[in-house]
Amino acid sequence: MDEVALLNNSLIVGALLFGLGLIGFLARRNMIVMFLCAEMMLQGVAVSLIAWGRYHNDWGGQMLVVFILTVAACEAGLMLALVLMLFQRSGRLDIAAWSELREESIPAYKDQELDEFVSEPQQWPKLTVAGVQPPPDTEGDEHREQM
Amino acid sequence: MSPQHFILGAAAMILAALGMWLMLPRGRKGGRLLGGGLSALSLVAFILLGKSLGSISADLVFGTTAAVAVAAAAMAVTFRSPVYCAIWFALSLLATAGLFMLQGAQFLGVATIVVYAGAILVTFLFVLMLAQPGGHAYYDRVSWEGLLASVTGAVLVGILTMTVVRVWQPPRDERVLAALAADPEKTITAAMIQRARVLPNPAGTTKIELELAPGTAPQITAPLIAKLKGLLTANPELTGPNGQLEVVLLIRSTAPAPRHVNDKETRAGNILHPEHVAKLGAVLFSQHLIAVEVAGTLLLIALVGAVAILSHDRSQRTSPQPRDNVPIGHAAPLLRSPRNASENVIGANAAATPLLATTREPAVSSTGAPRHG
Repeated sequence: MDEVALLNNSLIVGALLFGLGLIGFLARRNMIVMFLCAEMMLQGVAVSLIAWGRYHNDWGGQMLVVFILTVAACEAGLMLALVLMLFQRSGRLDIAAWSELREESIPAYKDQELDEFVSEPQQWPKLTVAGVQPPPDTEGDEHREQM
Repeated sequence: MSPQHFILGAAAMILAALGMWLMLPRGRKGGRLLGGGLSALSLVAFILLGKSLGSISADLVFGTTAAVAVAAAAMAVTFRSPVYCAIWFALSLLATAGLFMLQGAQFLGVATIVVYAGAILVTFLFVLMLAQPGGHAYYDRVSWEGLLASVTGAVLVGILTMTVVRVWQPPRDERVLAALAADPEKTITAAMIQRARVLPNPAGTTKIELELAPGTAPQITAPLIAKLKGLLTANPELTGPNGQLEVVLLIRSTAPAPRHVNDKETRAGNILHPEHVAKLGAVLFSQHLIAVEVAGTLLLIALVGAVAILSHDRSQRTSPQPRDNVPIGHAAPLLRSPRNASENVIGANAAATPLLATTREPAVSSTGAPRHG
């Protein structure tokens, strides 16, 4: 087996995993997905470290990955606690809900508006009155807005 | 670095940036398939680039595992639903564990599966079940500056990849190779030359940097250097306008090749030892004993910290607060109800309204939108 080729290819795979994680961490807004992307960056680093360790015939790379796993587990526990706390306070997993924490001089981030999201006032069809008027169904009114 | 490598790497980078941008949630439909196609093309370009760096004996296995890892990672980044993200992330982790095992790190491969897939991912899904209302939330369907983020990631990957390619394939000037190939005795063959650069020199002399691969070239003696200089000056393309030529030879041929490169026996006694876990444990608990203790303490601190964060938060919230949004476990979809819609669009009512003030409005707000009728 050509060790140099194995090292080179593994380094490229590690760089790709790290880059994908970086893209996701920068672009996504869901806090849980952001954390998944951070874990993905750690995976990229771990792939590179193991490849270096094998190339140099040294256990240092694998040792570092063992400790990366440990720290990642700690980080995951703390992060899930924090996400739960933030979710209970703001009611959503959106990281933009905490843009209140920005500096005063920085303008607020203005979200783009989605077509399906900002719905128009709904126009129900008008039917001609026919028959006897039924008694008002208060229970039905409760559910109608969910339709 | 040869031009083919540069073109291949640049194409892979641009395709990856465009593809990832199209695949990321952008708040509108369409373009995802195109983005997936571009990303797949980029992956093919990366595979070609990797193959050009030399062949591995388990080439197909390595290539498949790496492709699955990277493709699943791209899916995990771009899928709208966080649950799907977590599942694709699990697939990516499995493939990464496969890569670990291919490199002879069996323990870490198994540990990755156990720690991530077994613990973290289950916890992720638990949180998702707890926190995710039905349907795609608004914030899962848009992203911050998707194009800028994709370009940033692609540039980073491009720099790292091109560094690897450049170190592995140093520049070899064709004119120098041709000049040395004219030697009838073939003292220096093309395979021995690791780096050959012709440096431009304003003084009119041409400077040639020649680096020979370690352990392959013959002994460097004064006659050999004189002969090389003669060969290089004989080439009319190399000499400058005034016929002067300065040859700088960087020769490391006398040094033996590093023993660890491509030596099976050295690795078999250490990093590829048959008793892998025993060796790893011996190193871990002898050379890194203090680090192991510190890591254990860190785990304990993280556990206490996580409990402290949640219990502190709960004790603060003993007084009933107005719930801003749909309570946990309530299946009312955020998206479809017009009442909730205005609350979830940040700045939909007025751009200057502070975010938290918008969300703290009572659930039945006068948004002006009639419920029905």
